[in-house]
Amino acid sequence: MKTLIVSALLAAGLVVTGCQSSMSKEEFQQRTEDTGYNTVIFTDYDLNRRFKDGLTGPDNVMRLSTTGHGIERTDTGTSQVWVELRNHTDFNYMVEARTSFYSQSGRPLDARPVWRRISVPANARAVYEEKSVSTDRLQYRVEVRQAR
Amino acid sequence: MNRRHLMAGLGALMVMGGCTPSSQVDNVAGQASVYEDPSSSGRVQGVGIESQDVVAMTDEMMRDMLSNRILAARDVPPRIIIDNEYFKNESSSIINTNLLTDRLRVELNRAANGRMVFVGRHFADMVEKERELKRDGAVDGGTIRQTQATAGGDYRLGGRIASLDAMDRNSQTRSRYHQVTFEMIDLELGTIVWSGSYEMKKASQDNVLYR
Repeated sequence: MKTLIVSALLAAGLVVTGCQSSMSKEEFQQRTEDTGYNTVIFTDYDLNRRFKDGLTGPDNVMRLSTTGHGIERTDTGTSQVWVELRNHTDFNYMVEARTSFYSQSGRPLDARPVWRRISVPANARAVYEEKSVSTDRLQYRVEVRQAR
Repeated sequence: MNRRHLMAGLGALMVMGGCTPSSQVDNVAGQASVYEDPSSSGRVQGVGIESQDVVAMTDEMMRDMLSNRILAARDVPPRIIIDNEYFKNESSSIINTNLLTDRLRVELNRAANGRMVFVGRHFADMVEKERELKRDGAVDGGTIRQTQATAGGDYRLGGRIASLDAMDRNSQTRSRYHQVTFEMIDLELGTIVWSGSYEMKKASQDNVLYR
């Protein structure tokens, strides 16, 4: 009888462990979805993430979000991308962002993207800007992560 | 009884002697050196200017210069000199300013793609020696062309690195604020046609040695 109970408990433990390590449908979708062009992506999922936090938890947990982003041309014909970030927490956040530029056909163009630091004060907004070196018409993809 | 004690003591000494050799080989794999991304913070971090700062600030200045009408939208591309002759380090950080000016010139030259022309003033000696050899007839004239003189610059980079240090004596936390200014000077008029600055403040308890 005792052996039976121990075996059952072990099996239950294995099942629970298996369930915990598996990724929720939302998280899997967020990690693998096609991000497209002219978008801002939080590559650090701790900043902005959709997931199931247990049975009753929220579906979307965010510390930072974007309130707007766009692209415009400068006087010399290069492009300038802007992203406004909003901090929803009571803590100052130091984040890094970089912009990859693409041609209209989707070919990666321009100089190698470089991480740039931005300070987003608690419960406030900050703007990240990046200029291209190419004068072609470009698409962009901005990646945001927590600074280390 | 005494004899037995003596034997046991001798045995223990022999064992201890065998266990503590005077030299040994540490026959385990060492910590392999690893490549790190120069544009991200690495394992060793302090309050000084580091590779990610060099990359970030030169990249930002390069992109900003290419959006300036005076520098990047002229019908005749301006001749620009970028070297560390007038780029001074007045900060408490140890840094070779060539790291900044060299990267800026190289990246800008590659990205400008003809919108700017760069004068290699730091190679002036090399050019003069070759020109003398050509003029003396020691070598032929080459295949490109001959000019009266070497190129004069329209604009030249100047700049400064300054810093402000602070230390908390209780926690031994050290912080350093850096202000790096980049300015492009009109070499005829003396006016500043473009300016850029990069600021950063770092705090650290670790004692990192920069060389």
